[in-house]
Amino acid sequence: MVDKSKALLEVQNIKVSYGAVQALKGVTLGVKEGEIVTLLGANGAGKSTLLKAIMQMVPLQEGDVLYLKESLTRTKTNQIVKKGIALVPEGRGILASMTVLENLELGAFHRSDWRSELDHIFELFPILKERIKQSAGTLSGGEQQMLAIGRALLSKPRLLLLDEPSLGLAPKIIQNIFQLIQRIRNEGISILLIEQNAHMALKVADRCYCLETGQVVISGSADELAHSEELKKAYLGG
Amino acid sequence: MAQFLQHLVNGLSLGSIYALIAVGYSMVYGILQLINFAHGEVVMLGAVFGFWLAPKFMYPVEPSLGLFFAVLGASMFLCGLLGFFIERLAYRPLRKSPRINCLITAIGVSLFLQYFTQLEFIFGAIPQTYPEMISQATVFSFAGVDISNLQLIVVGLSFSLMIILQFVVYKTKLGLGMRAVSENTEVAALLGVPVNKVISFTFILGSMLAAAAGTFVATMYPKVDAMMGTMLGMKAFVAAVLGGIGNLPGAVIGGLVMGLAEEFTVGYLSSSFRDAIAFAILILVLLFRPAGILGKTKIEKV
Repeated sequence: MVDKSKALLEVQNIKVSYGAVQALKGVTLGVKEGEIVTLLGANGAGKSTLLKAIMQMVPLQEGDVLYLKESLTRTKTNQIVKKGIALVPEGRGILASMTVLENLELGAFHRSDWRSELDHIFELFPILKERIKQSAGTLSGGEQQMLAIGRALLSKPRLLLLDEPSLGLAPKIIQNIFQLIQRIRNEGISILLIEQNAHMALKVADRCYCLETGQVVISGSADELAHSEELKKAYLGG
Repeated sequence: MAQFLQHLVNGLSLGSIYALIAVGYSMVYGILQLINFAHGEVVMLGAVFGFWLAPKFMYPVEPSLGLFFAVLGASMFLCGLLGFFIERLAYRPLRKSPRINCLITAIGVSLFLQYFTQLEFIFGAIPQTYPEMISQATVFSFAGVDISNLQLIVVGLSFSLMIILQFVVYKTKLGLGMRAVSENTEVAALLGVPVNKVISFTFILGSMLAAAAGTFVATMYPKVDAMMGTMLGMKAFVAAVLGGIGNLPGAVIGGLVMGLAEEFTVGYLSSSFRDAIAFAILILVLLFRPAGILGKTKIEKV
């Protein structure tokens, strides 16, 4: 069912600036169908900017973003969601004053047939079912992250962009989240994952790119890179 | 006692009009963090449209409830369009500019509409009498308190409209989108909410309520004038701040409090304080409870 050779997302030489600061200096990378690709890098390397550029939340100076061979540069963010890419933003982006159910409903904003999938989301994240009527701001960090992912899944994406899902969570919950990431991939959804936690990310990923000050400096298969001296020095603490 | 109750009744009917306008300020602020100073002018144009249309629908104008509803509906429709174009032409091109630019533009739009309306071939600078579509009559008299049919209609319709608005905001998909955009525009877009459509819809909704308010004011105090929106808009703005700007139930409470305060000031102090009381309230709110009655003080989480 999943054709692993098919390019889902192609980022071609994109450049993005915030005023005088160039955050991305020509980044090229790709995600194929069914892959988990991880994007490693220190703070300020441009990882989040790259995800924002894919979603057209920041203007591109140069380059192109192709999704299924189709350029996204003239597409609005909400239209990109409709086409099948969902981003779980850094800090989760939970709408705190709304209930858990309303947050989930928003994830499926462009769809009318989402209610039948709620059960599947609750199966992945049983805790959300217990909290359904609670306002989302009262959830714990881990629960909020699950809500953010569940909400993104309700938009029925083919490609899920995750921006540091492990940020600020307890180790046990991080393990839980990484298991879920693998499970989501097994359901046929490709994943582009930003992580600071390189150990964990390399364990689940197929391929990996390392970003440094707006440029890809290392790329390769996750197995290879997990043993690479260069990467060890930079991200795995030697 | 009778006098007190009479002021209460008058204050509530005036307050319900302020509430209708205040809700429009609050909605737009909630979504764009913009104080739409042109909102008062939409109220004024709501009355002007009625002044033009009533004779077109029926000449000579004979009092009839049907005519009143037809004029109200047409005026709400036209102001909805006006609100849509105000946002589209004046505010949308500035969406990414600093907030002060939008604020200055809002004042510009407000002045433009005031003076454009004053042009001789549009409406003119001279106040006109609003056509009488409902002949005023006391329908209810109890212990010296008179309630007129106008007051009943105005209060009844204002509250019906606000209940409909509440329903739209809390029970419909577009309302869900509105609340999402007002809480976090970026996240709303990431969830597939068509942000521009939601913003247009908000302006249309607010302007329709403003048109209703303009029609009600002109019906109760039968006068139309190109400058009438300024003071109404200002007072409703104070009402929105008093209730907690961005908060819809707050705007309704703020509007009612403003109407009552004004009516009691006129009744027990002096009618020359009619307008001063609004701004006295504004100063007090800003000094002692800047977030307003129902507003929450925002705690920025890091």
